[in-house]
Amino acid sequence: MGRITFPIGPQHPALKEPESFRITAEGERVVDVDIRLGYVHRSIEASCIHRNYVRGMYLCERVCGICSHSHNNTFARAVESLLQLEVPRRAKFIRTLVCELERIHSHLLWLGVAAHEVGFDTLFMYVWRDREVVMDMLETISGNRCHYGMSTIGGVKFDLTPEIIAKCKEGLDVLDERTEYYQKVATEEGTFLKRVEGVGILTEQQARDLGAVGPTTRGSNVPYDARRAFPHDAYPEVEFDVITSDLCDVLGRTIVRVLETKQSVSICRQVLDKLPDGDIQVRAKPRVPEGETVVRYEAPRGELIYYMRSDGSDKPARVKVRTPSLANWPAAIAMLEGAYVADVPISIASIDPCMSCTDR
Amino acid sequence: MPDLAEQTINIVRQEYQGDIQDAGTMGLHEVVFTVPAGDIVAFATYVLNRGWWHLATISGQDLGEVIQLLYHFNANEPPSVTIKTSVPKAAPKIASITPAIPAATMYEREVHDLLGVQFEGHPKLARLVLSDDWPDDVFPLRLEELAKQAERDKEKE
Amino acid sequence: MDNAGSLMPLFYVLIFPGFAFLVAFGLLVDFFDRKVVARLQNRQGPPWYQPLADMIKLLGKEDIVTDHADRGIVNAIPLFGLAAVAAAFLYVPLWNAAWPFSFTGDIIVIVYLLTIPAFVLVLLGWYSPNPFGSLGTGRVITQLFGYEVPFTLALLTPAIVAQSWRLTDLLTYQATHFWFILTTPIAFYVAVVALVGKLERIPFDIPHAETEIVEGPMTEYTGRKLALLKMMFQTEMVVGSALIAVIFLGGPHLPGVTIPIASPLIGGLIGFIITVVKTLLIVFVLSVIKALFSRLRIEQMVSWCLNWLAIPILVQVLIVVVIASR
Repeated sequence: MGRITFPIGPQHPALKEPESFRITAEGERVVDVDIRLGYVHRSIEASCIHRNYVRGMYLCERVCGICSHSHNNTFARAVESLLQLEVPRRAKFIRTLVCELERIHSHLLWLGVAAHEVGFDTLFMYVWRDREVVMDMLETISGNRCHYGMSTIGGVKFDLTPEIIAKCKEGLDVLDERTEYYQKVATEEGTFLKRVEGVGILTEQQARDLGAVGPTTRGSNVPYDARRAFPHDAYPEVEFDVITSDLCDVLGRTIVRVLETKQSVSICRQVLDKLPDGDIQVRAKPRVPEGETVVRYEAPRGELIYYMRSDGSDKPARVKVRTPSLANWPAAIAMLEGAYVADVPISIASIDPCMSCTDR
Repeated sequence: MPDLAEQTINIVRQEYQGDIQDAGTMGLHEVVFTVPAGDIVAFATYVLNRGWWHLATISGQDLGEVIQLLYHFNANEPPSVTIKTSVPKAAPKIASITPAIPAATMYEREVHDLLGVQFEGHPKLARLVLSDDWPDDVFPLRLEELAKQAERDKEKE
Repeated sequence: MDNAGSLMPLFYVLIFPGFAFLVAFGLLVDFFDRKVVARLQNRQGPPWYQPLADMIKLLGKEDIVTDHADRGIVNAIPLFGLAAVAAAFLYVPLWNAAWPFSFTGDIIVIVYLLTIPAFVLVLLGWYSPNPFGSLGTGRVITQLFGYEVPFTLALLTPAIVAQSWRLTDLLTYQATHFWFILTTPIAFYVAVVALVGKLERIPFDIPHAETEIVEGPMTEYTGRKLALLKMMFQTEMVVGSALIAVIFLGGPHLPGVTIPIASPLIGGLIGFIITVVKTLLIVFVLSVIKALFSRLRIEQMVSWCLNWLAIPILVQVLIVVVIASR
């Protein structure tokens, strides 16, 4: 049978951001995949070295639009680790609240995009309608729908008033009910199951060997969650489960993300109930003593790791960002071998790729 | 945490037969081991099999005379292990750990792209983030390049 | 009077119920479909003039022909498809059994003409240098295996029952007996689902799966050619739905509504409105199907169609033949 090489990207309706895939297919089976990344490389790591810590924090927040708070918070935590600064308890709880709201927003966004990739536009429209509930909550808290600028070095910038807390609780009730519904749809809708069951297989051994993180690896039965492994902020004080699935396919990852959304709603409720009084910020010195540190966080897409080295001035000597999307690419390539052409977009979408995060 | 770090360092020093030049802590959860560049594959494989199964990333930085590489490993709970090693900037070559640890493939490519380190034995050491028409001898994270970038920024301001 | 007499067929063919009416009806049906799907998806949906605006916009765009393609053929193919569908529409009786264009065997002609759009897509993909075009062409042909034979058999089953190959005879049969949706329900179900495949709508829009192969065979076409292609799809939806409405839902016949034979104009108008409403009903069913499901893979589609379209329709034909022979 004849072989066709066709491009997915850099511009393609399946991709929301540009990357280039050259797929060689024999009939409807993929025989070779060639991936070229780097279309949105913005030299953020180099730029951080020329800017002081505060400007660097705002710059790193803009690595990604969907997991912006992850970068913001992790950068702030890295600097606080170098400064040996303890952040007030109330600030930790507010940070956790925004972290989990962002996780809900990211997972709902992903569910809609995945539904669109398999042609299930109705689910896409419903999920993104409900995502507006989270966006409204985040806008009430911080003033922005993305790039909230919540964390600062030493705490958070915006406080929660009782009105905001009440509005958040209402929104969380809506989200809880809607997530139940989406869990039902994801596990019971026939045509959707046909497109995600048995598609994009990543065995447990492959997930471990290839360094996959986040729902990609938890959907293959590897119980690694950086919130549980390296607790920080308010995570030691709230209860949540690490969700895994042993299905090892796109359906497994879908279930992991939907159930994680439910867990996030529960964490947000606990945070709002246990919110302590106090300051939201302590002053941080602009000059950071010499040292180096590693900070990890479970961003919506997986483990985010920052390595930071300071040389005593007010600018970092090295900021290294490894985003979860970069870690998941070898897993994505492994999933595509021998797959159907029709399964390529949904397999790639199942690792929740963020090209901006990958390239920085 | 310091106790746990002490314990980990002792265990590793006892079990690993090769040369460990230095051991210490970093940040909240990290235990740092410095090994010579030639031993990196052996030590990295030892760390991986000893329980730190997840290679988080490989960082590289230019320290002037040498390019320092940090291999960040972790398990499902603290402490985590970071392996530090250095290669001279004049001859930045080191054995690739990708054949033994497939997760390293993208990270080594990135260090190769931005710092110019040659990873010998890497199955496909191509560009990762820089464009195809980027000059071969310009490495954006090296100190010389960073100084040039700072100059350009100054001119703009 | 002779002049007026010789002009009437031209009026029928070009204006009403011919080409101009078909295009207008196609735009209306497109709006109706998009509005229903949008409301089911909790969206507003487009205003009534949206399909017309889209058509005008496309006609004003630059028309590009790639070097790889033969300019004459590529310009002619969409016209050919549109012409085939428009010709098929002429034989669908819209207001009563005294349809001027009907003849024995017109059902077969309609079914034949309705297969042309699939080959239009095949040819367009063939003439496209884009790999998406070739992939799309392969998928169109593969998808044909799923729906074509069940669709044909489903439309011909009522003809077997009514013992005639003439559409207008089916109308008179349904006016005196029950509608075929009640007597051959399996054929109705197979006809509607196979029509979804023919029109390349979700869950069978695999040949132009947007997130996989951009637009498939239609990727390289823009401007006037794309406008004609879209028009072809819209009118195909009208013809297919009208055909099913006429064959299975009794067309202009409504039990209890007597067509006043004394005034043929009023009678024709009433019958016409009834047929239009029934056509929109079938379009509504197609829209609901579109909103409910996700897209299948091509091999899933073909195997599903073999199991759930081909076998039921064969059973239906068997039942009909057995009953008819008694």
